[in-house]
Amino acid sequence: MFAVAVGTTLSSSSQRRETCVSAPEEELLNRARRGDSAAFEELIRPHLPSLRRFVYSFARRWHDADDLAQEALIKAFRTFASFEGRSSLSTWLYTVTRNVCHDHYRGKLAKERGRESPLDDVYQDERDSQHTLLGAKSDSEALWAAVKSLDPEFRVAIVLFDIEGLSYEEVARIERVPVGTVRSRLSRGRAKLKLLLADRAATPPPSGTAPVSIPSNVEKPR
Amino acid sequence: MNELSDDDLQSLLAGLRAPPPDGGFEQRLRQGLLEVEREGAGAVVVRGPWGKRRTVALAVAAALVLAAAAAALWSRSSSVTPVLEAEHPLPQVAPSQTPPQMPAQDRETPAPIDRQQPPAPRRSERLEPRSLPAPAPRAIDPHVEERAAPPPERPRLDRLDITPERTSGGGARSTGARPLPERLPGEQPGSAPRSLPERGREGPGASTTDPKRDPPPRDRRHPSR
Repeated sequence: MFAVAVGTTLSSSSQRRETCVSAPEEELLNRARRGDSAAFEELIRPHLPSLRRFVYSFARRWHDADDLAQEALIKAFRTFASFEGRSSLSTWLYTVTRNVCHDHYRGKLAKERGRESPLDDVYQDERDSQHTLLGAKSDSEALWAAVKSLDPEFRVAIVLFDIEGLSYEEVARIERVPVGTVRSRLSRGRAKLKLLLADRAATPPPSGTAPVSIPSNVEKPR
Repeated sequence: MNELSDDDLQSLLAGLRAPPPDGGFEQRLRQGLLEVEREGAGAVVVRGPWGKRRTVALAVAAALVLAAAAAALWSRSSSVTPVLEAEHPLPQVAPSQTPPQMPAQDRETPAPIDRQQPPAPRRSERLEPRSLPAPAPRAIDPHVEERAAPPPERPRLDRLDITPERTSGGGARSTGARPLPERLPGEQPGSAPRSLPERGREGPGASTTDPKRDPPPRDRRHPSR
């Protein structure tokens, strides 16, 4: 019997995403393979919020992220016949979306490099993220800005594992790297993220902004 | 230094798992999927990066590569051939001149193999080439001890630094028989000649007569002997 993981449950951050197999999904899968957009939409609906968040880590605004996510999902619909069910549907969707985001990122970099002053523009996103980080009006904005300022390899690992709750193996399958590499990237990415947040906490915020709230058990700088 | 712990950081990151703002994303996605469905999703062929390029550009690139390869081959062959011809000129054969042909019998039927070939010569015989002509018979004077001079027709012996054996007469070199050892001044004429260790071992039987070299086997049943 064809088994596809569609439904997801996530109770806490320590528990990884659990996949369950549902038999009626097979009919949806067959219809989506034949080009039925309604069946495909039904299949991907539970994954839309996480996919949008994942794409948002590559974009500046939610509007850009939605455009990129739509492009990725349409590409997934076009090539859905190649989905054989060897991995879960969420992993496959994340892989397609990640490839689209990386292509977009590389194309953007190539465009920036074609300009006259590439050094001023290539790191524009990172500088924007830093400015957003320093001038964020909420904790979530500051945290998103810090995540976006990471390198893509660290960013993907942290978003998929820490935010979306995927397992090490799923992240490794999406990134096509060994599990040890995922652990290493997570460790290094978290260290960089801590440094960024600590700098922001130590820097006096501009007027009208609030610093990132640090939990009470964390030692405050003197 | 103020640092977040891993748990604090994970709890902060888990707080980002909030539902994204609804800006009509699902409606736009539905429209996009319907458009693709109308086009026919199964008819779409995913092409690689080379397939996305223009066909004309591909054709021009292929033609350029082929032309460059052909030009390189032509220039290489034209630069190498005169040198080769100058160094190794080919023999000019007249058109009317045909190469000599072997008779049909020689070409088709190989020479019969002589299965009754003589056995391989011994090592001592191999030193003398058989093809050399035999020396002319000479008059032998029995009273005059002939010194066997190295024959000039045996250059291999000279090269191998083999001194010819002194023969007691006859002039011809005896290959099988050992010459008798010379008698030392103190020996009796009737006694057997002593072996001369300074002359070295001359044959396989020389050492068997030396009791110091090969002592007689002891009788193991009587170790006192």
